[in-house]
Amino acid sequence: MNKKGIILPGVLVLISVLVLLAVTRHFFSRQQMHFSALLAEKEQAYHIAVGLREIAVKQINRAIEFYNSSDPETFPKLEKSDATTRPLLEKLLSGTNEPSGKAFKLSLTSESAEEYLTMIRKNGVEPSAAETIISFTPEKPLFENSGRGIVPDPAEIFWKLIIRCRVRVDRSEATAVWYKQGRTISIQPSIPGKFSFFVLEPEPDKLNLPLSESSLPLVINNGNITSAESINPPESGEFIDRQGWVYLGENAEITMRLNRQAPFLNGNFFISPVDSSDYLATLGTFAWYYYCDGFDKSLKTSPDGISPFAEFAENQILPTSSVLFNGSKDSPSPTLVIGRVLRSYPIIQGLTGRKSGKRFPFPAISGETFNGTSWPCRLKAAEAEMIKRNFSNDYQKYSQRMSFIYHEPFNAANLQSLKLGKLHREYAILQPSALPAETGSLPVSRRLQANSAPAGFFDFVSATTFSLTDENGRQILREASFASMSDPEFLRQRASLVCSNFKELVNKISGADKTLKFPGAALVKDDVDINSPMQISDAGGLLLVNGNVTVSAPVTVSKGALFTIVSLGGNISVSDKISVDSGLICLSGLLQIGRGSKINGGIACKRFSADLSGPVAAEIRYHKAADPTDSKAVRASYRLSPDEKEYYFVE
Amino acid sequence: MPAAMNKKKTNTAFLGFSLVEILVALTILTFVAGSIFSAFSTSRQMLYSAKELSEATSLASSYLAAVTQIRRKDLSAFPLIDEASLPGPFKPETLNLPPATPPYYRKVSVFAVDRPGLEGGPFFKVNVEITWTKKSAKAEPVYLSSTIIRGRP
Repeated sequence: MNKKGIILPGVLVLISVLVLLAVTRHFFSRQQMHFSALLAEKEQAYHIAVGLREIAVKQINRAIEFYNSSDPETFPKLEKSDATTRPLLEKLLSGTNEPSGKAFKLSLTSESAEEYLTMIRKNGVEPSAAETIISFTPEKPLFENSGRGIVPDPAEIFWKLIIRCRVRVDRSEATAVWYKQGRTISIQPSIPGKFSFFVLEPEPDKLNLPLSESSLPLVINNGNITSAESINPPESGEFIDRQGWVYLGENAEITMRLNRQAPFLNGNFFISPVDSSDYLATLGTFAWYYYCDGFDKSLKTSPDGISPFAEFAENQILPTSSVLFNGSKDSPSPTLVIGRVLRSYPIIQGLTGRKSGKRFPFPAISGETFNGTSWPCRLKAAEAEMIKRNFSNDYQKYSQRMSFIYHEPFNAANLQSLKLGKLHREYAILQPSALPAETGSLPVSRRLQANSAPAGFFDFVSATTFSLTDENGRQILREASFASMSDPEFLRQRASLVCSNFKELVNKISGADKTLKFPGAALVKDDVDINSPMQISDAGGLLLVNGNVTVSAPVTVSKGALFTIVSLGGNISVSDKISVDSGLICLSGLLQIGRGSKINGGIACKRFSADLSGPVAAEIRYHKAADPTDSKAVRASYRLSPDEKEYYFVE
Repeated sequence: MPAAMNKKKTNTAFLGFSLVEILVALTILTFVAGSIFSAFSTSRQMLYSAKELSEATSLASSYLAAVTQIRRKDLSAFPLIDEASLPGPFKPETLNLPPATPPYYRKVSVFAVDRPGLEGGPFFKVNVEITWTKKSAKAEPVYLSSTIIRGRP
């Protein structure tokens, strides 16, 4: 073998191998460097995107907080929103400030994000692209339409909200994403919200009690107050339609025996001349008188020692209404009472001396007593004889002038608030049928239909089915019995936050100032005992409870926001002298109110009980914001209620 | 004898390398080996740089991820300072992070964004600057990364 000339090829082979190795290593090193640089840029882009997401999430939360606020200063929302919140609200709301419920995508900007990006650029990192896109997608209605009963509000929906923050640094791009589901709900308690006092199974015995001198009735203030004879009849319909109403079942007859504090109890004293054909007319000094009174001890013994009334037993006269449906005497508030509800009060009639002013009552007596000589009310036999002579010894004629207990549909009280001029004073007992033709037709409800006909405001409203529309004509209850409200499941669906107990809920929604910020509606699976003062934020909300609710400490709500406590399956009990800025609903249980309690919100329950033995009146004050027939109240009641869970991830 | 002499002459011709051959080979090797070793050296440096950049990225990212856990009440703004001098809540040990060890140095600065809180702030922009010493480099390499935090409630 010739070895000459082999070294050169050998060297060349070695060089080739070395070159190949060097190239390979260089290639992988370059790749490694490239990947490291890409990773470094990716991390930079990622952290910038995360930062932008942080700003955007806060921006969204601020917009939701502003949207959910009941502060009057925040209305109308679009006009009062700031530059950062407005673009989002413009998409979320329709022109009428109601939730639009439409899908949208929006490029979100803010001064904070701009400032942040400027700072980053100053540091030498140059994001070539940075954008924040928010997308809102409606998913499905919150409630299914069953055709009858509560008509779902189309604004109440499930939705999802996504924020995508995309940032590019040189060759790398990162997208930080935030995702949340939620629902648009109304915090109004639906149909029961129309009522200041809603009792499915009222117990008449508990509505009329033998009140002692030191006890005061429960006063229900239904909204606007008005004095007697103050509303023009044509305007009365709108006035009463806007009030909180009273519901006491649909068929059972209930008689409210009015006491002296009852507003619109006609206290006028009327005098009319004795008929010229009557014997008393010949005496020339007497006139008839009559007036209305409440059930009271004075019916047995008046201050002048003469009982003005009757031979009734005390227990027939003294039990009087323990609940005043028309507010207090000083603050009367007309309302529409649904159910076969009567109000009764004594009409005191008799004879008065035109000059002396002395009164001789004509007591309510039986025909037998009339024919005898021993009359009640300390009337002497001679005086009784004179009266009998005047009526030609005819008991029938006498009975038209004697005192008696009058029954009328409770809604007739609303006539007392109408400006009827002289008519009001000339008719001691006002009934629509008794009004002269010149009064004109009285308005009917534009919001309530009973058995498919508009309900009147001055007579019984009793029917098997009811329909309810809002002031714009949108139907919210279709041909259903109010008794169907006993199933409160229509409220459960609204809860976006579910807690096993009340303590957990408080921990989750308690702000730095201990104010509770309800995410629209929250559900507690256990009993709830509110035994320390509870402050609710100006967003208000709905507290739904599976069990019983006991309130022994004040509940206050900021800026008059609407708040309602609902026991879905239990009872609600409010201790004595507690002020509660909340509606109270327990449609399958008992609602108990203690002495001197103030409930700022309507109540709705299956059964009702109140301790009225104290000298301070308990009070229920209707909250107009709960009215589902009032467009303004409905608009203000919507809440964007995000679910508790939120997802952060990178795309 | 002549045959044997002839055979000896032929064998001698196959023995050893020519001087020219060796010189050419050495010349080629000298020229090429320099480039090859230079290429190897560059690759090595690139690998080191990649490792350093990855390390710096990791140091910055882990810190930025950890500062999101600071409570809102503990957030404050401060200029660029070494991590050893950071305020308590921002210290790596408070955040359960290992400190940067030489040749790596971590510096942090925090600035308030949206100071009046008009947009839901203040937000805090956290800058992390990782530097490391490198003999071959004229200036210290720097890796910068930043994010926005609001702090935990």
